[in-house]
Amino acid sequence: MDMPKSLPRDVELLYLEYNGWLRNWLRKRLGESADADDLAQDTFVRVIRSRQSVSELRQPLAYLATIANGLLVNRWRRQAVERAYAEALAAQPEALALSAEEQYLLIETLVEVDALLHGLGPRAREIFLLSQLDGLTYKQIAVQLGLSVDQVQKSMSKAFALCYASQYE
Amino acid sequence: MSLPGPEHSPIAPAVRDQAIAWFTLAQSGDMTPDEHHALQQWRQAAPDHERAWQRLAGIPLQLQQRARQLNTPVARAALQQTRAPNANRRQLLKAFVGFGLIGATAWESRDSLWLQGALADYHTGTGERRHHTLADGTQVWLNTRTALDVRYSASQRLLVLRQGELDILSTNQRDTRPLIVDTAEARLRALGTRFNVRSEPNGHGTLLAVSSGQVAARPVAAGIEQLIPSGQQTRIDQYGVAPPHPLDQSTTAWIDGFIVAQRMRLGDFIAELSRYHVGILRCDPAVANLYLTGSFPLNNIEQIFALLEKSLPVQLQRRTPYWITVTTRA
Repeated sequence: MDMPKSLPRDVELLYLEYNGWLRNWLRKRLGESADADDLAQDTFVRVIRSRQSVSELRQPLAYLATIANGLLVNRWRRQAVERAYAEALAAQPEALALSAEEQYLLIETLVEVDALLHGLGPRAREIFLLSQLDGLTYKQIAVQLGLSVDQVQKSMSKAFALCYASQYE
Repeated sequence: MSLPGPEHSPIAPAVRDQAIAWFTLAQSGDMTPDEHHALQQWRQAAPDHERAWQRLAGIPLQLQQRARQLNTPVARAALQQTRAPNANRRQLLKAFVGFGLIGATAWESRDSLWLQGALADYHTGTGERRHHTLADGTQVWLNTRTALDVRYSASQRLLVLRQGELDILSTNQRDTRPLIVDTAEARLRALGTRFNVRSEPNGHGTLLAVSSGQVAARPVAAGIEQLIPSGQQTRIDQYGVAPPHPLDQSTTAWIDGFIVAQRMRLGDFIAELSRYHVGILRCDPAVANLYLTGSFPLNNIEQIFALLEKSLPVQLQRRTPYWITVTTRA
C-alpha cells in the first residue's frame, strides 16, 4: 500500500500524544490492561492503514475513540460467538474433535455469519438458516416450527432487510 | 436514459424495500410463474432495481459458501444461540461493512426488458398511461409497462410492441404504406382501424381486440393471415389464432382510466390490478373465487383497495407498502 511519506510521522506524533489517553479509555471499558494495551496498538495500526491524513484531523480523540470502539465491539462479538460455540460444544454428546486450526477457521466463519445475522433473535435465526442453508420452503418451515407462513415470511423479510443494512447502510 | 451508477452509490429506500419484498417472495420456494415473470419485469424496469436485487442475491451465496462448515450441529447451535453483546447496533454493523461484498452484478441477458424499455421509442412505467400522435397522424395509447418502437420507412409503417399494451387509432386514409404491429407472436396489419393489442407476459400470447375496421393477423410461425372483423377479439400465439369472440368493452376501459369488472373473479381482478401497482400484489387463494362487478379508477389504487374491503369479506394485509396481500377478513 502506498501512502504519503509524511503520514507515519503524523501517526507517531498522534501516538505519542494520545496513546496514554486511549489506553485509559479502553481500560475503563475492558477492565484488564493487557487487552486494553493490545487494542490500543490495534487502533494505531488501523490509523496507519487508513489513508486519513492525520495532521488534518480536527478531533483526533473522537477519531481514535471511534476506531477503538469498532475494535472493541468486534472483540465483544467474537467473544459472544466463542461463548455460544463453547456452550454448543458442551451440549453435544459426541463432539467432533476439531484441530485448533479447524476450530479457529470455524470461529472465523461463525463470526462472519453472525455479523450477517446481527439483530436477529434465536427464532429468526433458526428460520433464516432453515431457509437459506437447508433450502426449506416457507411452508415447510412454518409446519416444522408450528408458525404461520405469514410469520415465516415476515421474519425472512426482516432478516433480509438487516442483512442488506449490515452491508450497505 | 441514465446509465447504471457506480456499484456502491446509494439506492433509494423505496427501491430497496421493493427489492426486499421481491427477494423474500423469491426465496419462499413457492412462487407462481406469473409472479416470477412480474419479478423479472421489476428487475428489468430500472438499473437500480437490478442493483438492489443483486445486493440481496449475494446474501444466500455468503451462507452457501460456508455451508460445509455451518452444517454441523455444533455450528448451527452456536450460530442460533449467539447473543449480541450490548452495544450500539449501528456501530456493530459499520464494523462489518467490509464483509463479503458482492461480485455478481452481471446483467442476466443483453437484451433485457429494461434495456428494451429504456431504448424503445415510447415507453411507460408501472401505472403510467400515455397518448402519442405519430408522424402520419396515427394515434397510439400506451398502457402501463409498455415499450413501443416506431419504425416508419418508405414502404411501411411498422410498430414493434416489445411489451405491454397498445391501442391504435389509424385515421390517415391517404397514406398507402401498410400499418403493421409486430408482437412476439404475430404480425398484425391494420385495415382502416381502431384496435387494441396486448402482449401478454410469460408466453401467454397476444390479445387482439378490434373496435372498428379490420385487422389481418398472421402468427409468426404460420403462413396464413386471418381477418379479425370489427367487434371481435381473439388470442394469438405463434402458431395460430384462436376463434374470435365478441368484443368485451372492458378490454379498452384502461384508455379512460378504468378497470371494468363484470362478475370477475377476485383472483383475476387482482392479477389485472397488479399490472398497475408498483410492488407485489397478491390474492390469497382463499378469496380468489369471490366475484365482483364495477368500474374501478386506475388513478387511485388505494381507493380500489378501500372499495374492495367495503364490498367483499376481504382485507388488505400490508407487509410493506410494496407488498400487499388481499386475504380473508379476520
